[in-house]
Amino acid sequence: MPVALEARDISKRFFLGERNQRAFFEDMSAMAMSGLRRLFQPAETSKERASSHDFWALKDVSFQVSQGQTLAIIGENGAGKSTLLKIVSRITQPTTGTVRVYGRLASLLEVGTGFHPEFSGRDNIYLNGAMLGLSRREVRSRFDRIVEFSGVEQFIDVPVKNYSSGMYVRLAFSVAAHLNPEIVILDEVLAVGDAVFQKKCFDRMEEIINEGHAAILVSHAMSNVERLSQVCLWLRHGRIEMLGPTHEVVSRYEKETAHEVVSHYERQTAEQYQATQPEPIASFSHWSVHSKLATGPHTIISGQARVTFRFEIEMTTSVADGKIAVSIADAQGLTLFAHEGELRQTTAGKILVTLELASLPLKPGEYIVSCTISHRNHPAAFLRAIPELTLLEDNSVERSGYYGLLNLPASLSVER
Amino acid sequence: MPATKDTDSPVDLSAGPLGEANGVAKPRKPTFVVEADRLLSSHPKELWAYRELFLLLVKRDFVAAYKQTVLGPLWFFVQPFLASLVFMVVFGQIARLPTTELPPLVFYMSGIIAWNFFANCLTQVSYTFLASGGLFRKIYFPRLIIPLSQVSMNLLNFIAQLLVLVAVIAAYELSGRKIDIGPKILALPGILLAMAFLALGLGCLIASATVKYRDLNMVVGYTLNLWMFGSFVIYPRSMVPDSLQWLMNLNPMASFIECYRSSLFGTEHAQIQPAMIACIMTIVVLATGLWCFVRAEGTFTDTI
Repeated sequence: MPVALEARDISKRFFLGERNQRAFFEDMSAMAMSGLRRLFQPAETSKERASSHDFWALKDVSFQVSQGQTLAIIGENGAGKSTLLKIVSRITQPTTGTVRVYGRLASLLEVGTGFHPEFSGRDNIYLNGAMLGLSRREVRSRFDRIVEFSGVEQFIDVPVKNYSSGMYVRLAFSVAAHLNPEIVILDEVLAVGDAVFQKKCFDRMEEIINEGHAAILVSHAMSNVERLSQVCLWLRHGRIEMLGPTHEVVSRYEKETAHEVVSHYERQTAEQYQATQPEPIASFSHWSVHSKLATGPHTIISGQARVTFRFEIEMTTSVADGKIAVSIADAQGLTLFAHEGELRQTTAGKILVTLELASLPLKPGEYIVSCTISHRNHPAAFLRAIPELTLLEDNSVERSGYYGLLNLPASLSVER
Repeated sequence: MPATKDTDSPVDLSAGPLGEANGVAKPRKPTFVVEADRLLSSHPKELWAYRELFLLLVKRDFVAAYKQTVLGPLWFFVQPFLASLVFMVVFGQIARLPTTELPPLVFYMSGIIAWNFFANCLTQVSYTFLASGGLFRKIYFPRLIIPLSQVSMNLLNFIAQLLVLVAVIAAYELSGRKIDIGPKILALPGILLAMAFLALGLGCLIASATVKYRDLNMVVGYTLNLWMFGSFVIYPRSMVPDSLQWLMNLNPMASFIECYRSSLFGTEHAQIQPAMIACIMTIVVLATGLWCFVRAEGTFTDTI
């Protein structure tokens, strides 16, 4: 497939530091000095002047998007994603490097910029359309679809300053969503409005991606990245951490970010625990996971086999009538599953808790397993611990085309 | 954790056997290229492609200006009229400055509307990056569209105010005073354009500088106030002593306003030499201003 967009060795340098009165005089004197210096020391390079004020937001980033392909850009906040998008969409220049774009490109970094409050929805559709590169004729041919999508038909001739904020963003998104460019750049934060309209936005984005010839998508939701893109670019501190097929990049990204999230989570719960529970009623001494798919004490291959968790817990007090729960949360801390049982007449000392699961059909990744003990005297007593249950990809079978949180046993057949 | 860097070869998943077959095709011309030190926009072809946006922006600013005021469109007509009355009292009655053969009201009013046109253009253009920065950060379009639309909007305002002037002249005519409007008026569009270009060039120059130094706009308003006193708005060239004529020749706006009144009424005799100096200065300022502007638009988001 021919290339739709090609970026080669993109770097972007920012100068940190304030521009103020002193900066002005420094600039002036620097100009004068460099002129003088050039007279006496012609060999001096400008590299020496690259001071600590410099900050490379992007460094040597290369990638290409073919027609019919969607590239997702992922990475933490501040990794350089926005800067990259701004360069590709001609909002700012790279310090070095080249981007070649083949075809009409529309970038939707934000909706509603350029709307004028005094003008009616109708006028703003034309104005915004023109800003985004549509001719009047093109806007006219899409006008009805735009209005219908936004759902503000009744108010189309009312100045947008009188719109509710919901109506405003809906209209703005509708204009942006009907550009029909050859290459589209989408930021996921574009999905706006209430839940229903957000769903509509996402669907429309998917449509745009599917009907467009090429797309670049920025997203923090890995499920969307996996669903919508084939190639994925992972940026870290302005450099390419990994570039390749989406499922490979995403699985490594999730694994690595999970470590960070888990350690953060661990710290947080420990603090919470200490705050609510100065004297712990119990502590973990050991835990393990048993399965024929287990590859380590806390690692199993994701699959359909029976899984047993064993927790050894050291009780510091006796508990008369308590509850014990074991839960599994994903790396973001979302509880996926929890099972609760009774804890009767326990004296201080060691207890053994066992949880049997017929299967653990979760997708490969990092999980947090916690065990919570509570009883009447200590309603908030937590025994939260043991992060990091690692589920590995089952390499013995071919990766079936699934995405999402669960890896349920399934088969897909088509008949006619 | 060591990472497998994959920077040297961008992955092209679609490069299958089919992809290779297509890949042999002769290299296509990119629709656009983004590169360091390459102008991002404002290429004449780009400007032309966005002409509809230009028209809509002119319309937007024009309509918005009228919508937001209490007096509505009336404000545009009242303002120069009131200013002329004040000038008539202060400069005509108190300072007793002569106003050629023209009635003072016509003299001051013609000067004020031309000066306002220039001053408003210059001020608005110099605010381009500060006022439209938010927009520029989110949407790409040739940035020069904004200053161009602002100058055009002011031109429309000027024409509207000129109509008021015509009404004032008509009133004088009815009362029996003769004001000659001759064929020289054909030069008026050219003179207006020259003023517009001067304002555009100077405004672009300042706009580019505001990217680095925000407070420069303060200087603009202040300077414009002082500049007016040296620009034949309130007195004709004949009042200037010979020893200061050279100074006036260095002020392009003085020459332009002189030419403008000369083309309207034929009461002042525009001289070739100052007019030439003014035109050359305008061309130099415009070229420098545009050059700085297109340089600034590529990197302004990094500093403001």
